[in-house]
Amino acid sequence: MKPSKPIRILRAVILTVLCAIWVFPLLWTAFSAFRPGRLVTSFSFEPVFSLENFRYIFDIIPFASYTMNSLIFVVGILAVQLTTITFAAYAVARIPFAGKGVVMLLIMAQIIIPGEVLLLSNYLTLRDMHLLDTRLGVMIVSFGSAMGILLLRQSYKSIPLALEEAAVLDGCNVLQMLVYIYIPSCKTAYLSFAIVSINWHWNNFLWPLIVINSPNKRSLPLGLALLTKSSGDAGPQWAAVTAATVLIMLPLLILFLIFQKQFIKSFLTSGMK
Amino acid sequence: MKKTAVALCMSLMLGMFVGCSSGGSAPGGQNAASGGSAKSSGKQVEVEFYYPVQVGGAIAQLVESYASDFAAENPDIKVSPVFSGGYADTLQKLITAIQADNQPQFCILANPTILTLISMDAIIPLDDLINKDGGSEYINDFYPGFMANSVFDGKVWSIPFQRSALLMFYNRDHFREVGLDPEKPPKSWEEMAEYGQKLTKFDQNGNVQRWGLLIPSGGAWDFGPFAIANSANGENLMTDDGRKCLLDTPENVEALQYLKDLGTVYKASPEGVVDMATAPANFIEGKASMIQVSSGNLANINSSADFDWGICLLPYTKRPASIAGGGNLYLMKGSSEEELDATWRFVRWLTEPERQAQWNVDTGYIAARKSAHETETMRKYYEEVPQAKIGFEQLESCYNEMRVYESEKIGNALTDKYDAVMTGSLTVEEALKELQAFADETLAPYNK
Repeated sequence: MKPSKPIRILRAVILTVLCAIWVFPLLWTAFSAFRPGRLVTSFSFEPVFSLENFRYIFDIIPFASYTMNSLIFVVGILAVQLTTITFAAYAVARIPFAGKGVVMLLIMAQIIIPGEVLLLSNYLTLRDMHLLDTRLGVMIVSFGSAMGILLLRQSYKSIPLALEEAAVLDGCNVLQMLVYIYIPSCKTAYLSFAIVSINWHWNNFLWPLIVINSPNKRSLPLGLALLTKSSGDAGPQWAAVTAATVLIMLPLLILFLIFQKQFIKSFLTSGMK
Repeated sequence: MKKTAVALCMSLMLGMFVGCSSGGSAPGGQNAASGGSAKSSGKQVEVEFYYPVQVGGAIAQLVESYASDFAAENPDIKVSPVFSGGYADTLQKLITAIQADNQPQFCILANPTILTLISMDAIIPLDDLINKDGGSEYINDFYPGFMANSVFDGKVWSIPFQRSALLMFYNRDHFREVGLDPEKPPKSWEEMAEYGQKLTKFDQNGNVQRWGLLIPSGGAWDFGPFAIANSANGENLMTDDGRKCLLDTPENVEALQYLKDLGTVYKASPEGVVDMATAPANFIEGKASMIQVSSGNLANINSSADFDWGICLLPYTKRPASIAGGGNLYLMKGSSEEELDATWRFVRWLTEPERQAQWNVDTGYIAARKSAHETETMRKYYEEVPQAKIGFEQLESCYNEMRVYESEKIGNALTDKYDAVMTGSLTVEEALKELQAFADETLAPYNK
């Protein structure tokens, strides 16, 4: 079943081209980050490099506190999400109860409504809860995740009921069943959900912008905005912007590179043996 | 399959229902809350304001230092600056806050936003405050070009703050190189085209190494000076009440044709669209000899250009004209009497001549008050950067940025048609005619 040589070569060429298209902006950003401002918009390879851009952005963006806030947002949201979606997914996948169809519909409706539409109503709720300008306020709206619930529900459903019945015979309660059977069997689903969630909340700009007023609670995308929004009254400072972009995306990039193998591997080996 | 479709439909309807009900609850919530967050703690009055960052540099720190400096001088007032992205983000944050009755006392927003804010009923006219403190001596000290977008319907609605103007920067070394006198930059359109042609440089293969002239195609902002310089009686791109656009006049056809000819006939500029972001960079790299860009680029060009450069007034036909850009201070509706007084004190403090002068030096924005330019700070600045003085002279001929209702829509259409002309997919006459028709249709509801 091995494909013939020409096909393999063609495939390699196409993959190489795709890979180059994908990696070029990334490399160019990293390259530009170390270039002096006057060279950054030209296609020159003059060997001039400096760390000036980084010095400049460290003057403008308090990276330590912004990174801390971003970490709090991302980790806090993910931790609560993993808990809520585990229970919710188990309930809709395995527990029979009246009105389950309506519950599923409600969950799906949440996916259909774009987040921006709920901006105002969420803001009003936060105001009534006195959570405006708090970190909890930024996080609380994402504590549930319809996408996560649906994703896990599908995975849970693929686990044979026989396993659960065996566990019940062995005297497991629901919590133990989740810990020993469901969660370990659905690592892939958890991992893909975590990646999507981390990615989304690390990059989220609009919601923190609206909720946060105090400088010490700003997250990294707001810091980046201190540079990128400057195109109106003066030219954009590409050199500084690329330097800040590199620093801000670095953690995500590292995370992806570490988990990439595991991510793909878990896709291949998941399912019941 | 059928089941899925039904489920999808139902959830869609449900989604709409949920969306409606949460939208509907907004006014109720607004009435229930009494004044939003606790703004008055003890005797101290709190003044909150949103500020965008539109130019590079440590503007955020500067604005926050203003707040603490002011608080040190006025212990009875606490000023809380809130960074809010760019102008568009600031407007979005403001609209959200207004819905929740949680708006700040004032905001820095782009100067043409005035009509949007008035039709939202979000801002207050400032005439009473000005009469109480400052008077005509204060308000007439601002440059008329900067005040143009503050006055509407006979009332003053905003105070000019972070202001800029379109200027022409030119490379004096390039002028010498091609035998032009750097002391005599172009004054008329003919000269501009002729000089641009001379300054454009090709290599042996006919590839362009350097453009004589770069005029970004940003729409209303960049086309404005050409339209006003050439219009019959100094008309802008719209009427003063913002209800009508004046786009397909024979004079505008001439102006747009001239811009097109710069590329196709004179070969002084690239044919096609020139991106706003690339002009200053090309100038600094020596790949463009003359550029028409915002004064906000002055600081960057001053620190990065390693050649002899100058600024000149924008060349013109019938009258000198430039466009004033940048942001103003708007006072929001809904402040208490004490908050309003405190806000006005802060606004007055922010626009003191000496502070405006220092702001000009620190940020590159042009101080909006005449008296600011007579301070010692500015005298020194003009000695260090003599080119900036021309920017200040250009203020005498500054007109307001396109201020119409639905300015976003019409501005985008203008940019599209402008680009279509430059790329050759529409003739100048066609483009302006279509644009006028679109503007008339868009503005019809405002002309009933």
